[in-house]
Amino acid sequence: MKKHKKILVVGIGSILRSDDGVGVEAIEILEKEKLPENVSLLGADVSGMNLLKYFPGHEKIIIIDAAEMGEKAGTVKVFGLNEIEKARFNDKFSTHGMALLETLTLGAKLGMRNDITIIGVEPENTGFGLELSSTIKSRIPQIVEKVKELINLK
Amino acid sequence: MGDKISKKNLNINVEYLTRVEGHGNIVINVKEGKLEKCFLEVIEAPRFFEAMVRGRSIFEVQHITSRICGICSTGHCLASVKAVEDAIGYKVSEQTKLFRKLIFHLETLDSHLLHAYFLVAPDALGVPSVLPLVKTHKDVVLLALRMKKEYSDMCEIMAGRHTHPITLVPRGWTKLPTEAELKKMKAIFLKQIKDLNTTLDIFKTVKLPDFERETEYVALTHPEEYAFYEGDITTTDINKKIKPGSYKEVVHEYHVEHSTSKHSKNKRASYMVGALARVNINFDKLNDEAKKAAKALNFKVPCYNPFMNTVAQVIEMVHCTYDAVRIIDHFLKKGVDYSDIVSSWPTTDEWPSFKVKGGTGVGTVEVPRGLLVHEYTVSEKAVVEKANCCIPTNQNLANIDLDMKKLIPEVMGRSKEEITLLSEMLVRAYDPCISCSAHLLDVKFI
Repeated sequence: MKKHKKILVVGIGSILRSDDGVGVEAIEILEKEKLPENVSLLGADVSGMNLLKYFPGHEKIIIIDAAEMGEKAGTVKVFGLNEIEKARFNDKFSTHGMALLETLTLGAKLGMRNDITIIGVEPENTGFGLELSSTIKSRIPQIVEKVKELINLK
Repeated sequence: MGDKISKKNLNINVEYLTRVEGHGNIVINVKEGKLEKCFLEVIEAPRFFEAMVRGRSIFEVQHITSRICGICSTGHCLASVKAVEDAIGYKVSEQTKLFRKLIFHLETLDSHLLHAYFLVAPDALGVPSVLPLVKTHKDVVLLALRMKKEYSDMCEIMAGRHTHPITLVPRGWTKLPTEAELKKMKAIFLKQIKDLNTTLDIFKTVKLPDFERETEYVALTHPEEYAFYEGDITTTDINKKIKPGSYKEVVHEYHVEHSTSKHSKNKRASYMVGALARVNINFDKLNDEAKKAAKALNFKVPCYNPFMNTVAQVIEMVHCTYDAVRIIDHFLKKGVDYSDIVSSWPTTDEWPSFKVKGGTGVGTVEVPRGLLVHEYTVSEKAVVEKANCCIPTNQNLANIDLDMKKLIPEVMGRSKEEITLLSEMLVRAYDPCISCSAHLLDVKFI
């Protein structure tokens, strides 16, 4: 039997910052779906280096995160690491500043060769609040579909 | 490079927190040889959380507050839970306390490791970030990441997941580690001793700026142990212990013109919280291994060099490691009482016997960055009516400003780059917490 690649789908962001929590919310929806055994879900508020520890155990990593892409709020884009500028590491004041892009850059530097895909969602509101904006909430089904496409369910 | 500044005029503006709504920066302004402005500003987010927890049940509030910080989520969670228990007059079991102390050690270790290796080490080795170290010191980077992963794995055993614990609730734990899990954690810690010793060797060689400014140091203190989870508040300027409920006798918050965050002071114009304050106050309560480490690191109390906060953190890492093993050994010997497990919400059967007497409660803990206070007013219906949260970073702000005011004139002869780096290093030494900001992925397509 063909061994399936181990896939990790991880939603990143703070659920206390409105649309920043879109990744975590998407994972909560995905948790209710029936997914293949080779797929693990991580609804994480981990934004920094904590993510690295999951790299060795998963060949493919799909990251859902609110992203400032200069697009209209609600835009959902799927892209690979080679399509975007690497982290410039100019924000090193705080360990918390060790954000996703820095982590991924560090991982690559360390020779981790995971297949990484990012589902970026342009946020509307990242002020303090426990709810997603209606614009972003309405994109959740679209994000869930994208994830399913990426794990070859569709 | 080394653009030599005239000693007459100097303008430094490090807008390092640009992603945090533009509120945070270092401002240094010298005019006609006179230091006119010199301060650090960070956004004060906890005030927003205070509004968020209002109207919430006391049994869910820690899930919100733990998200104030991705690094000290356990600290916020426990300050929250302790404030709730204090408000309703609930006393937890000794076992609950001991396990809370264990998870606290894990968080302190994780946080200190990150700070020492990923923020301070690059400065000490003269590189702009951890990235170049992958080339020159790959073994060190891998060691730090290995330790980080192990702390994270152990946090997962205790908290149910790495950050934002789900097992820590008012009244106790919803899950307790099995004997096998305790043995696993002990094995990890014992294996780590080698990496810990390497860490000591590395930080023995790290050269930190030679600078001193005596200030008031504030921390929790406990008669029998090195205080993280419980104790009374004390300072190096007072000869008494203040009960957590009277924290306002020490933490005097006030507004300053240049900052959106409140500053704090007590007997002097500022005070310091954090590892250096704790070690200065509670050195005799450190375990022998940590005391030995202090000696090896050439650390002497009292220490008035804020840059040494990182060294104090390394000393605490040694303390926490050996104390964690002590706690695990205790449970391996005595066993764990699993009947102590509680549900996150009182069950229907429990409610009648579980009376919430409304009131005000205060939870104080020592998180990696220093004294953290949560204060709640709770209604008889178990709802939070009012909240106040004093975070360590804000308590340190006035002290950072005064350190800078002393430091800058002392290094005025150096280049603008050097002065900028020194002021950045000073701020970094305090390990300021800005994590409550949104962490958006900043994407630039190629």
